[in-house]
Amino acid sequence: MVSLKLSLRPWKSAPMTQWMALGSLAFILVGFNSVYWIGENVASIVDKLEAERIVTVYLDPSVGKRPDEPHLQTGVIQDAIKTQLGSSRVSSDYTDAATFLKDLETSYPELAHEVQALGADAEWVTPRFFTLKGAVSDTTIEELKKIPGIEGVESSDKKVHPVTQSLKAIFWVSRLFTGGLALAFVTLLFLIARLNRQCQSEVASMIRQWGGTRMQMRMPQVWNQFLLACSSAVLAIATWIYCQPLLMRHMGALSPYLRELKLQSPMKMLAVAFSAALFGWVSGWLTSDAELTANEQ
Amino acid sequence: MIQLKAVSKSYSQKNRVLDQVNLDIKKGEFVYLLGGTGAGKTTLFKLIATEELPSTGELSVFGYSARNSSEATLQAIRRSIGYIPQKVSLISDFTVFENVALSLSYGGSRLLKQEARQKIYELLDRLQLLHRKDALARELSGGETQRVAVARALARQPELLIADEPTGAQDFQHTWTVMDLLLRANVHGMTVIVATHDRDIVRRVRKRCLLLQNGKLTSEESALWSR
Repeated sequence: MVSLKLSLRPWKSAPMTQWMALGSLAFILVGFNSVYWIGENVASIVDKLEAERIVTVYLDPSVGKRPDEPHLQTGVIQDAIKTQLGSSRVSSDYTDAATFLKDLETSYPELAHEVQALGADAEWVTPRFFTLKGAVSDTTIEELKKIPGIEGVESSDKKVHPVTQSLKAIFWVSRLFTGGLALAFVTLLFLIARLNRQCQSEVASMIRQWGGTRMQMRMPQVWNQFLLACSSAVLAIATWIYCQPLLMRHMGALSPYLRELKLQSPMKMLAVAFSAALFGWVSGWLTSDAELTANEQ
Repeated sequence: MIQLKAVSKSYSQKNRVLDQVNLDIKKGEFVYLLGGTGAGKTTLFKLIATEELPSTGELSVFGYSARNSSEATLQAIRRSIGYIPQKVSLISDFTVFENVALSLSYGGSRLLKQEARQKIYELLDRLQLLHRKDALARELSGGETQRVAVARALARQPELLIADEPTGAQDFQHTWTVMDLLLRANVHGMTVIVATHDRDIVRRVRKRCLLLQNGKLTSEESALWSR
């Protein structure tokens, strides 16, 4: 209790400095947590985008129009596609000519009218296709191209590539900032520790004079730094819990891919707080007055 | 209790603060240490209080060699010493009572909480500081600060009390209040060493005197006070 009371002396002698330090440390922790969280989420989105692709399998216009060729029927081709995909988790949707035209009418009504005006010939220009969503390998795509009745296969690879590259850049920038902010946190903690040491060193000297142990000499400074780091962590967690949904909303507005950001787990928040407290303890320990042996000259 | 054999102390090669000091102080003695400014009184006290170690020579306190003792032994020695430094430092944002009580928390006091409180009140009362017990240390005058340091040292009931000019900032009345307390402590078995410039005290209370000049113990005679 006495150590604890002595540890709070800097709050009495220089309260403004302590409050400013507490606020700054909390702010840095929130920043650290934000960029770490962004980096973590972006990495999982990149993994997902790289593993998943959207493959469009276009049917030949003649499919389903020749009853004498049973292998050129939509159902048969669909079965062949499923066989090629095997057990992979891939969803498959079929878009027929009518559905395509209906969708086209919504986005491009004039073009839809022009196609409809072709009458029976419209069937030859209106695409019919299967949309496959999931982890589809390059080999599978090559195999799909070989199925009779398939006119062509397009993969979303090239479309997503610039997005994954941008997200990877964001990931590395976030990692860089995470490291920088961690360094800033530790540096500020040590700076304030050195400042507070001035206040605690005379107490340490008195404790030594009274026959106190090395540990007793160190404790006021250690407690002071530990409590400062803990308070900043608590403030940072409270701010983070309040601000995270707002940040998610703003990030989601930047790109549809960022709408998949997930809330940070409480365990990770606690890990950050625990690390902050640990650094507080270490900074107090390393800067405490450790005049361990009598001055011999 | 305290033995110094050819003890020297220097902080630089040119500046030797103590030079070949030999001294033997027995348990229960009351000793004055006299000497001008810069004679080496404070350095000698710091050595006896094991705050510093001698550069050469042998110093033993309570029978333990200061140089060869472990840190734990030195801590135990310090717990048995009450030290009133020349430059008194109190914890400025603690009250008078807290400043005195704090030393008990670290000094390995065997007094129970209530006993300790009673002892502190008693000391503060004797030093005419009881009415100031709740005042912050930074609000005290120089004389009051010095008397709090006296109370702080005595509250721990040490075996050895080292007082470096404990009456330097006191008026006549308070000088004798402090001296009375030190003498009473000595009567109860405490070994007391007092550094002072006040020849009046030395003349009135006749005790063993040591004279330190330019780092050398030049005179050790009981009749020094009569000069």
